[in-house]
Amino acid sequence: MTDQELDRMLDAWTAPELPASLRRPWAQKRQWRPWAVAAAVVLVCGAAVGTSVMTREPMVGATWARFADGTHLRVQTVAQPWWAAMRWGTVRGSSSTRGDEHRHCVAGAAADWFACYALQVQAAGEGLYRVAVREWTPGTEELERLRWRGARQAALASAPGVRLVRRNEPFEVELVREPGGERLFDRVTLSSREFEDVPSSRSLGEGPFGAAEMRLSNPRLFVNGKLAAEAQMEARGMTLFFTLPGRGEWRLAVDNGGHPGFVEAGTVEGTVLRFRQGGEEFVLECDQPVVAGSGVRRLYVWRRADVQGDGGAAPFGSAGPASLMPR
Amino acid sequence: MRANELGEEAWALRGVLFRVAYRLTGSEAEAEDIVQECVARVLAGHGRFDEEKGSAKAYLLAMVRNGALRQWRSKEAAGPAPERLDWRTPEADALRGELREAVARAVGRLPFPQREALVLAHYEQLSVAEIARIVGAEEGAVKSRLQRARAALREMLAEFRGVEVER
Repeated sequence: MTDQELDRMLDAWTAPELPASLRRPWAQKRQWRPWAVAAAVVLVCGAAVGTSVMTREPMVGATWARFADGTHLRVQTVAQPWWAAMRWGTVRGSSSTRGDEHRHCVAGAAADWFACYALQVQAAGEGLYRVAVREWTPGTEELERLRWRGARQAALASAPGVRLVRRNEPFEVELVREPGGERLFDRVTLSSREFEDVPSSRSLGEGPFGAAEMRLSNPRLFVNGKLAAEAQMEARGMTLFFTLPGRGEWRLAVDNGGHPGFVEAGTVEGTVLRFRQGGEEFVLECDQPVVAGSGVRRLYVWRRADVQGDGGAAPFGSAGPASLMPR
Repeated sequence: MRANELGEEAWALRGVLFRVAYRLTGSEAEAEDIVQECVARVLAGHGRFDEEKGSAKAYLLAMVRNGALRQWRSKEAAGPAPERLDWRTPEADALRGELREAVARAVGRLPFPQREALVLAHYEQLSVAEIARIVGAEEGAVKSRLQRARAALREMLAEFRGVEVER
């Protein structure tokens, strides 16, 4: 029996959920101490900063595309309010553009649901575009390719239908809306010029994620020295992930954001991520440096055995910050 | 670190502590007791946590490990547990897709030192150095226990080779 086979068997033994007595919120009484007054002052100041952070909408994904007539498109998938990103921070996306049509899909992390629409864009002159949004259902072959077969297609919460939109003025396609007001939507912007935040047009680390940004470029994954997966793609984000069929998903970050699932397991240096877990050595080689700057960075890894690797065409990808991931 | 801060840390890590306690004892109820006692002891200031000797997590895991060890010793002193009447053979387990139970039983049959090394290394992804600090042993001894544990599990679970893992 190989180490890998034994590890897979051991992983079958999952721990039960926390008992009720350990699930209640932390309720330790605190005594009011003199230093607490100073702390309270700091807290009030911090709250002001915190509020501005919390009221910011977490972007859980973004796509850039160009139509045949040269019109540029940006689709930013946003969860609102900020805590909704705890739930949707790990959604996946897929899109394609042909002629004047852009097809966009977003799926849950476990690929148990997806929402898709097609966006048709025609320039109407004077900085206006005629935009038609309709729900779109991928064919069986497409679903097979995406490994979403069997997933439930969620009806769009709301779509603008046909309308005229102005250049650089975003409009929304609402994907999911919960009764409590939480929603996941795409913010779509059209422009005659390339967007400044297109990943390929800026250097690594200069984006909103700063030094914590990571990049996968044509990754090749080796497990115990053997090639396990490879892909021709580029993805950027504060976390990267790869999946192995039947074994689960591994999420990688240089900033674990205090998420207890991400444990320090290896290093990132230049174009190589390297870590050990469960007696196995994982090496991810890329064509471009994974993080900005030189030197060795700590790598935090969160293995999610509950998320099945699907053996799909793209077992690699990127996602939002670790701090916003479910715990 | 104050008792209250360490208590908060213990509470924040209760998921990890519970998992480790459960896998060391094989019992949810015992694991719950151990974690509750760990948090209570920390809050009551019954502990000698020294930040220079290791992280709060390692200290708390050591407390949980000691709790599980006490449980194991008292069971050992009471003699072997009676064999369950519905003890199933590996073949039958495989047919029923019960690899999970078989793994739990196999890990439970390991001697305690090997079990704790395996649980902390495989399930909690701790390094050999961290495990050595938690269990109070040399790194070499931990490595050797880990190898022996895996060899024993290979033998105990050999019947399941090729069985698809249920999730």
